[in-house]
Amino acid sequence: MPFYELTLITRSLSKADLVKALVRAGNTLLNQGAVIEKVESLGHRDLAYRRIAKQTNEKVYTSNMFLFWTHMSREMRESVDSILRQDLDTVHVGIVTNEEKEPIECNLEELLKPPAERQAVKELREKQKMGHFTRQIVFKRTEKEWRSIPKSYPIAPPRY
Amino acid sequence: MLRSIVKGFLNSGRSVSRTAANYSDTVASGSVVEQSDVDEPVELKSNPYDKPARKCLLCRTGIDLDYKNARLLQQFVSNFSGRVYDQHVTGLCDMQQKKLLQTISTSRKAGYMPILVKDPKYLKDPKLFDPLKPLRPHSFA
Repeated sequence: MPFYELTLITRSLSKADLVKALVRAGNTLLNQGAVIEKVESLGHRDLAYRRIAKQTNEKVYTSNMFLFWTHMSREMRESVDSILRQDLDTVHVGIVTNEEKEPIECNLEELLKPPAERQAVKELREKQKMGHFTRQIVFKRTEKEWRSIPKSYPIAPPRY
Repeated sequence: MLRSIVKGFLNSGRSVSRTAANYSDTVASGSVVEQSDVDEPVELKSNPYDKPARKCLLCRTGIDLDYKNARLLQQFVSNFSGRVYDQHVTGLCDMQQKKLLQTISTSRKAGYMPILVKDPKYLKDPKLFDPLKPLRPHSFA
């Protein structure tokens, strides 16, 4: 069962109602077969943007946020999500997996080089697919530049 | 004439060859190209005076991007348009920039971060980079 972090944002509630809403959310998780590792309160915060509570249509600018550390299957995740979303006391539910950490290799030095020396640009030059007409245009342009270089002086340079 | 004298000196005087051997011992054996004659000039595989590779801000400081840390994420967002700055402005490496975009999108979906604007609480946060002085004139340049 993969690990999920479930963020729950409630509408503004009294303390007793808040406890009821939290217990209900926890029970839905457990009834679906999820394992709750930890419940954290993120506090009464300003929300990132205004949300609207269901049924009462009141606008929610600040409210309580909670974080559940849970383990549940992928199918459970969808059912839990839909049930908690339909709850009248929740304003928002976000379920997030923690991604596997890949080792990060910093290639800033490569990016700071001029484009002619960059490996990505070299590969693009050699391997990129080019259409017939683009290829012809490039050929013509280079040919023109090549022709424009004088092969010999129009007037012979003076001999000394 | 002079060459022959020098050769003779090198062959006769052992002290010179000894110093050369000592020198090759002191230098790390992996970085020196092996040579048949001791008196040949020492060739190094890598330039010892090379500067260490520069790293991007997040790689240098070892900070891990977290979707719950909306304040850090919003330092990469424009005050004016509320959009994430491009790589040539943020000065991050490829992988960190990709990770930044992913993390910002998850943060927005989970409800930690505003979508269209930067949170006005964080407008006066310290600047990590200057958008008027990008690394390159354009992200595709």
